[in-house]
Amino acid sequence: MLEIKNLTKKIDNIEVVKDINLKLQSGEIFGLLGRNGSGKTTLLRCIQQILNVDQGEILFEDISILDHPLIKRNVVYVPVQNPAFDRYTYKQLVRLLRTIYPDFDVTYANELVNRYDLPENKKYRELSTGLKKQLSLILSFSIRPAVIMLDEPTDGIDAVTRHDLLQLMIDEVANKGTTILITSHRLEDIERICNRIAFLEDNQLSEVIEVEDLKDDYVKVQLAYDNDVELKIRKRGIPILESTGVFYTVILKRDDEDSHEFLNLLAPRIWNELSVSLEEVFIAKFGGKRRW
Amino acid sequence: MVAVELMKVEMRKNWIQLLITFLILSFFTPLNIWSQHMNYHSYEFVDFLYMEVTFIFIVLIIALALVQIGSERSNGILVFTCSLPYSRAQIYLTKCFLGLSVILIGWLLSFTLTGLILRLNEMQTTYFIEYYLDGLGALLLFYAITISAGAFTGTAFAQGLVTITVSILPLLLVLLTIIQLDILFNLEIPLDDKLKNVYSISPVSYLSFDSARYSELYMPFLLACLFLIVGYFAFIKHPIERTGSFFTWKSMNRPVQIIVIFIGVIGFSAFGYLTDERMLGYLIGGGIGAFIGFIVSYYLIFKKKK
Repeated sequence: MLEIKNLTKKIDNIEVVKDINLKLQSGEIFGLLGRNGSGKTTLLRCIQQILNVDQGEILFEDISILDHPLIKRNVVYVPVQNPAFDRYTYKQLVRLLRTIYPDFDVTYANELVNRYDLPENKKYRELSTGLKKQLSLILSFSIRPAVIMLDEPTDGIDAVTRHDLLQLMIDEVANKGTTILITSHRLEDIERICNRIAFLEDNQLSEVIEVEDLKDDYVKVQLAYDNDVELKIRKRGIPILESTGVFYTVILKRDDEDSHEFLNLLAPRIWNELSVSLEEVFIAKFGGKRRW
Repeated sequence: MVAVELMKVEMRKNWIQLLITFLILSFFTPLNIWSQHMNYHSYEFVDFLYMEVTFIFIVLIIALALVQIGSERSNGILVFTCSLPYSRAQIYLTKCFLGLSVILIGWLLSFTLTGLILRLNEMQTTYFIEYYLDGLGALLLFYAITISAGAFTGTAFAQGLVTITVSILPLLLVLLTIIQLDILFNLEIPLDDKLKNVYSISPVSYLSFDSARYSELYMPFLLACLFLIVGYFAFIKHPIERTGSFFTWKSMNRPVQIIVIFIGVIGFSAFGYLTDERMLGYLIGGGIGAFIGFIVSYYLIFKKKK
């Protein structure tokens, strides 16, 4: 499927993404996570050749996208906003995309547009943010690519539309075997639909992790002490999610025996272990430099 | 290297500008001559030496190139174009091919129609072929400069400004250098001889038809090729779509700022000296030029527009 080898991109002599290696599997939804400015969009734009890469290879079915741009018919990038569509109605967009993508499935696009009751004669710029995202997604699915890269597809839309969009993605993967690479700050969405994820941290990609494995690696602990020990916990570098009086909720890696022992030595009155969400893991992983 | 499907998309995106440019290029001159002939039956002699419409066509051509790259980049449309299954080289060449086709076909149609009107009405002319060849060179040259400027710049405004600057820069620099040599070293250089060569490489001189440069007709075509090649490499190699920035290559910011300040200094110092014929005026003018050059370049180049 899609493979990225040793990809490095510098902007103004700063390495925005560095030595990225990633291999996507057929029919999976892969989540790319990272804080603002971590290089997620840059990475997607490098894959799609919107930006020239400084180093590395991008292969689709072992063929280099850099050398064979026509291969990009199999890889579609859906940006956060798409001003190129602004002037066109749905029908005009279909005509435009059919010119470029011969396999564009008009029947499927019409079916989805009818299912989600999207206006066919309104210009793209006249649609709400949610409808724009829905239409972009429908059009990109109708291109029938093997890989779709979605940059913040659920950003700025209401819960109902978000639910529809996520369901559309799941259906697409289940029925058509499309591979989706998604970036999102809505970690509950990632948690819901992604099989595997990777974190972009310090411009480099972490190891690829199964979402369930990641959640198993961490534990949320509710603690109660006789005295205020917040400063001691913070000094130790243990992420505190919540603190109310002498009650604390912290996140620990399961195998971090030192932190477990440290908290135990402070003699808690209550020690209650709970499962964690992806968002809590994200905060624990990336909040370190800021909060504790 | 030109992608047919991409050309269809480009035509669909910019069809209004393409159509207007084509129609005006094709029909303005023949209709103008025909209407003059119909209104004034004594209008039997057409002297193309006084046909001052090349400038209008050039403005039209520049506007087309601004829409094709600068405006698309400003609006974020170029990002979509680059995401399509074509290489950057194909995108640049397709845009150029489309623009050049409109110019060539439109101009050829204009030439044919005008020729037919002249022949059918048995009208006499001077410089008919020279006017059309010179005009074609000028149109291609200004299109090449503007499209090439678009490969270097992040907004339509920056693209337009770079086009104007490049068009006048050779002439301006040589003139100012000659004036400076005269002021500083009393070296009086006869302008006529030297400027003749500078004129032929200064795009600004092609804004109007000049029958005297017929022997150097190859020059605008040569310059156009040069600009298209420079633009090609800039477009395929530039590192990032710096939408809103003046230059797509950040490394150009400082050298260009220095050039702007330099021109400000030599321009205003010469003006200062010519005003009161003393070195004090020269120095004050230079200081003002440096300040203006710095301010203008700072706000134009270093301030992001959106």
